[in-house]
Amino acid sequence: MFGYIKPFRPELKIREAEDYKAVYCGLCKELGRSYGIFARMTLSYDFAFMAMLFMSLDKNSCPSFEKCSCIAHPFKKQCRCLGNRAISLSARAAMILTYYKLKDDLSDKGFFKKIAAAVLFPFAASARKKALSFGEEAIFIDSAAAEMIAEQRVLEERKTPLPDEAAEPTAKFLSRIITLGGNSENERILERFGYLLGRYIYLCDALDDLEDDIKKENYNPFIFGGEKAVLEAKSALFLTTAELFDDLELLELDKYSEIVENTIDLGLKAEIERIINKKGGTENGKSI
Amino acid sequence: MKDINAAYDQIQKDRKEGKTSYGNSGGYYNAGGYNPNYGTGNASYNNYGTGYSQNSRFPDVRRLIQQNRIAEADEILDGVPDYNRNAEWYFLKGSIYYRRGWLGEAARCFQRAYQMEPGNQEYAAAYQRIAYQQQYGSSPGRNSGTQIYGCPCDCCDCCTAMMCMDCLCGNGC
Repeated sequence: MFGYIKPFRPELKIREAEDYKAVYCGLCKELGRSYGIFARMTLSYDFAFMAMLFMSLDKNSCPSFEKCSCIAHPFKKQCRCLGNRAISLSARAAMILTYYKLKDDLSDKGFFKKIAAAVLFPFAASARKKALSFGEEAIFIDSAAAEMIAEQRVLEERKTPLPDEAAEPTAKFLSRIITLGGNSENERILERFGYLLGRYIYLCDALDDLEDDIKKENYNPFIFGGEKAVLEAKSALFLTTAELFDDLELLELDKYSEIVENTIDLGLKAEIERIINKKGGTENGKSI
Repeated sequence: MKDINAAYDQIQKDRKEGKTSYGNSGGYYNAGGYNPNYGTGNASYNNYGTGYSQNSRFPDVRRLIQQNRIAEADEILDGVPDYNRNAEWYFLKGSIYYRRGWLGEAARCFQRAYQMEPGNQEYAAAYQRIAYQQQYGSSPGRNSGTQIYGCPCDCCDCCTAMMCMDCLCGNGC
């Protein structure tokens, strides 16, 4: 995934920001401990959010913390969340997804990307193997990821003009993964939540890559919008964030609920604005 | 599963015979129907297309949507020939898209239904809600009270850059 899901920091309380950072550090450490230094480089906000959401959904979990040193921050000890189910599950999902993304890169993208993918692929393959050895949940994630990549390929070859359809494989993948954090009561709410979150990630990535894809003549679901492509993408994304928050309100969250709400309510929209502003703004300026 | 299949067969049979109304459906006017739930914005997706409109041409589709049997409802709608696709057809099609998470297509269908029959409250409410979401990124009536003021550049990055520059220049700067 791509790091489009992060909290809107100015609205986080200091303790919330510290909790978030601790989970982020915890995930990084878990990646390093279980899968090696290569894995730490794949650390992303998306999986930190996933870990946070899983902890938030699980009333019985009680995260504990420790101070530790970190190579990325040599002068200050960091507070990190110790490994728990949520963190190890997110780490497994991250490894499996990295493997499939690299495998996909190997087969089509440009020359340099191909070389980079070829160099990293053996690490990803062994990380995935290790993740799979942890049991059923990892195997479930693995089959969902394989299915996603296959479906995505078919849709992109067909060059579907519908962003809704193009986003579906990613959406369905996340829908299945997110339900791992739930129970029979909230399953349907989580399914929709995951679906919309996956849709958001896919469409954000498509919007972010739009100019690049036009230049390189790659497939992009917003290409068909012509001059209005950015505005169209913004409406599609705003629809998604609105529905995400409505769905989130139905979920019973325990700890970290403020961080999860902040991320969904403000963080996602801020991210959309950031991507659009990077492109030089929309026709109606920088309003939100 | 047996029950579901039986109900489905019944509906298909009725449709073939041209029956479109279900005896009492008029009595359920708007029971559990689309409720422009602007105050809370809760779970509105459970409401689109589930009401029993008195003059509904597709009461069976509405019932299937209400029972969350989306694929079956969609199949029936797809079987309706082009010349019979009225505003309600587009509204129900939109409701199905909405439930599946195809929000862009849902918006398009709700807009079409609204344009075909602007006086219909059900279609207008659905269209207005989704149009609001497209514009503001949240549902009507729910104001988070927080504006994301744009300083899209990362201010911290500027500071770090300045500090690094200071280091380079030494004390003389």
